[in-house]
Amino acid sequence: MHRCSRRRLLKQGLLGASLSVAYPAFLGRLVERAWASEDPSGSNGDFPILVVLQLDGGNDGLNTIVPVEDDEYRRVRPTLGVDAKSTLALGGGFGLHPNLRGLASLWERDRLAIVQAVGYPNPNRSHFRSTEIWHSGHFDPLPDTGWLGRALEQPGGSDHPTSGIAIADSRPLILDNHSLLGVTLRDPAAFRQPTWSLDPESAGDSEKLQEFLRRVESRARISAETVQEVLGRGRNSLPYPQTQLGNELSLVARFIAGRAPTRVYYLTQTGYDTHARQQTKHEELLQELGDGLAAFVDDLERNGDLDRVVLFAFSEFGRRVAENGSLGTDHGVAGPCFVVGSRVRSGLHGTAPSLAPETLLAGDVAPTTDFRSLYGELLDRWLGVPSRDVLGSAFPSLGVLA
Amino acid sequence: MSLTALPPDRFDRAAAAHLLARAGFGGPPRDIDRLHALGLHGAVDSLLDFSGESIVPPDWVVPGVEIRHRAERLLEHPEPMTEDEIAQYTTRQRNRDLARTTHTADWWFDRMYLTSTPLREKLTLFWHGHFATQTSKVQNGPAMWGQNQMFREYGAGPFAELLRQLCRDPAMLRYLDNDENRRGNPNENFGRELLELFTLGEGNYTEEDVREAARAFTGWGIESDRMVFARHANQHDDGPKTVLGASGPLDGDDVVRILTSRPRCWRFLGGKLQGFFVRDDRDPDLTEAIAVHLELHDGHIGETLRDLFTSSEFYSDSVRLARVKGPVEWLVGFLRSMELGTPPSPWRRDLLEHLGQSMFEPPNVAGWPGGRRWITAAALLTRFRALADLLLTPGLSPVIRDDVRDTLIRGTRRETADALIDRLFLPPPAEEVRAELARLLDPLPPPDAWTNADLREAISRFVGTFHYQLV
Repeated sequence: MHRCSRRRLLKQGLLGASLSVAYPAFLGRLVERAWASEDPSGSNGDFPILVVLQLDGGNDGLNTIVPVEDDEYRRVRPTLGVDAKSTLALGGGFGLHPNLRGLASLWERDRLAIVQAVGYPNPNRSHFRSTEIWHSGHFDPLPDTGWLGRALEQPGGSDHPTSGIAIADSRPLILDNHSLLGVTLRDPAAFRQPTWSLDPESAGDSEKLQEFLRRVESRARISAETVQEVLGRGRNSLPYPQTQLGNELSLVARFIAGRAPTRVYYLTQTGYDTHARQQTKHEELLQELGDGLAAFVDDLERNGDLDRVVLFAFSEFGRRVAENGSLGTDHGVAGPCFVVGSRVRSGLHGTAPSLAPETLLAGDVAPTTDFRSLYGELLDRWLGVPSRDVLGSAFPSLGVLA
Repeated sequence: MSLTALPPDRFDRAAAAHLLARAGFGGPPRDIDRLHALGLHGAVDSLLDFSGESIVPPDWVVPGVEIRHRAERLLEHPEPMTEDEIAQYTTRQRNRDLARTTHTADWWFDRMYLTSTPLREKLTLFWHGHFATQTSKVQNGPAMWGQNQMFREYGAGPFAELLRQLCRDPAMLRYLDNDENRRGNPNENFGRELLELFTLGEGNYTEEDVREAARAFTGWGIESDRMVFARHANQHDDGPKTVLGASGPLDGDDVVRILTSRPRCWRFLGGKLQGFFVRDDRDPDLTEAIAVHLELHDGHIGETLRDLFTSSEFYSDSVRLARVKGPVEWLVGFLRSMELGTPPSPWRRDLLEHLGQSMFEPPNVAGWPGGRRWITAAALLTRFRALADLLLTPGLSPVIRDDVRDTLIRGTRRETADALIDRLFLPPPAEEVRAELARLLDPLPPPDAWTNADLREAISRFVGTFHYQLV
């Protein structure tokens, strides 16, 4: 297979070596063209793209998808409860938070699937441990790879170093894999290589940490070329909200429009850890979320890219059902996920959360859908990567994708 | 199993360079020589002796700056103000406080560069990551400075006392919402992170412990009009509680005592110290050994570090160059080794932000993940180019002193390369790495014909390699 030979080349550092001699930029483009022509799905082809967005900090699901007909909700949220009349009706006894008008517009156009009460058994209420579980897709105590990272390594994935992009300051676990596929960046303007380079072939010392750096460097140099080229081509078709999430979604859309060889993207919206005086903060976050996603979908649609993109949004946990004494909510368990795009089955999926006290887990919403069911469906039915190989076993599909 | 003492005669110059790079921020050759000449125990004693340098606070630190906006406004403007005037005033004060955080970061960066007590500043950086607090939420420069100085004063002493101070630190209490943690309906934010991130580690406590610890800290907050610690008795829940099996009408200090009496706490801290001072890929046996010494010294950080820095484990080949430099130590280390002074604040801020280590703005309460996670594709290339930008950009580039230059330019390319490597790389790299680096000078003219620009180019190339990212 061509794929194997390319991977071996990379492992031996030959691609990096040829890049680094005299004209790294020139040769970088050559290498990229070679890959594009070799790639069976084609860098210019219609491979499916998955964008994963983490609502970082633990989103308050109950104030996002509001159970407008539930008296228990009014009782446990005396001050923080969202007024039922202000919500945007979803049917089935639920309404979207009024600041999610952007999501409502997607809902009306059948571009939004909402999965209720997603979580996992033996829930962990630590941000960091729970994020590890969601990122890795398993429960090993010391995970070293992520489910998106492993997906890139499977047949049907891609072995271009830029096959995954995380918009972040430090490498997120979700994109980690043993082949070091995928790059992390935040400011593409800063992602340029210097004119000089060591020769990656002359690996004297095979100390693990040094070898790691050497390999990251050769992949980074290829990716820097790719990113500059792609962004030279990719344009947004409309302005985005001037927010951090808006900026980052517009960057992802430019990568997509510029025909990047990228199958998976990961980005975060931070600030959901609303322990105190939550209302204003949460309203701002949801406004930013709804407006950002609406702009993203409109932009992709105008550029003709919407049919190849699915966006999946999750949070590491929901929040405590009852509000605390400082007008906030503490760490909880299950929460809603969103799947956005033209290829989704729009509607409410999964089993709605119960707030009946006897069903709660120490005061928190119990999960009714395992997050790995969603991963499985996104892998099998969207990315075309066998989920069993990524997740270790098969999980029942929810039918979120059309 | 405890640490093994290093035979003092094994403390060679390379070991001294390793010690200075890890316990401090490195330095020019004479700093290494001085440390080497002191011998192993003398060198470690000198690093742990903070008495020779007094701290001169940032110039805006004057009594009363901890006053919050409202009280400050009433003091300055006792006469009634319109709502617009109040809004303008408050915006001005907030901007001033944000600027004071920036000034504090500049002040601290200068200290790291200039200090004669580098271990104290390195430990302050360690605790800033361990007890991570984001200025964007605290929004009070004086409180951030107060926390920074608290780490400096208590960071090398008993951990239990440091933790007692931390539980009284206005910036931390504000950051984790404990100033809103009240009896009856507690806020768990601080209680949870105290157990998970500050003392025991995830998985070593129950959810019930979190809820009970939160109750013990109810009422531990801030005065109503000043960023000063206050215990509000009427907000404190003095009922019985149980944390990690210990029961009673516990308050915050009781919880600190319970936490710091657990071997788990020393293992957790031992792992963190190993990651920061010894190696990125932590060795569980070494964590255990550091924990033994922490317990032996009742959690005394300085005494534990003394044992660590005089142990054979700390100097073994397997831990040399086994850490990725954090962005701050990478930059301070480069400036110190070349004796360049500190670069303009906006340039430094922008660079550290791109590299993922904005001072006073860690990514979240868990601090910087560090190690290999510093190395994103973008961060690595940015590191490669950044020091070249500094050295070669007109108007930005610092002066390379003549006496420094004279030690670097030698007869042949290889001699010059070795002189540059010996100044820049701590500890000195192996011969194959030297040879690899030396080849980077091939496109440059012979050293005897070097202009200042050639020297700067040569330095840029050496530090713009993955080898330079390791320590």
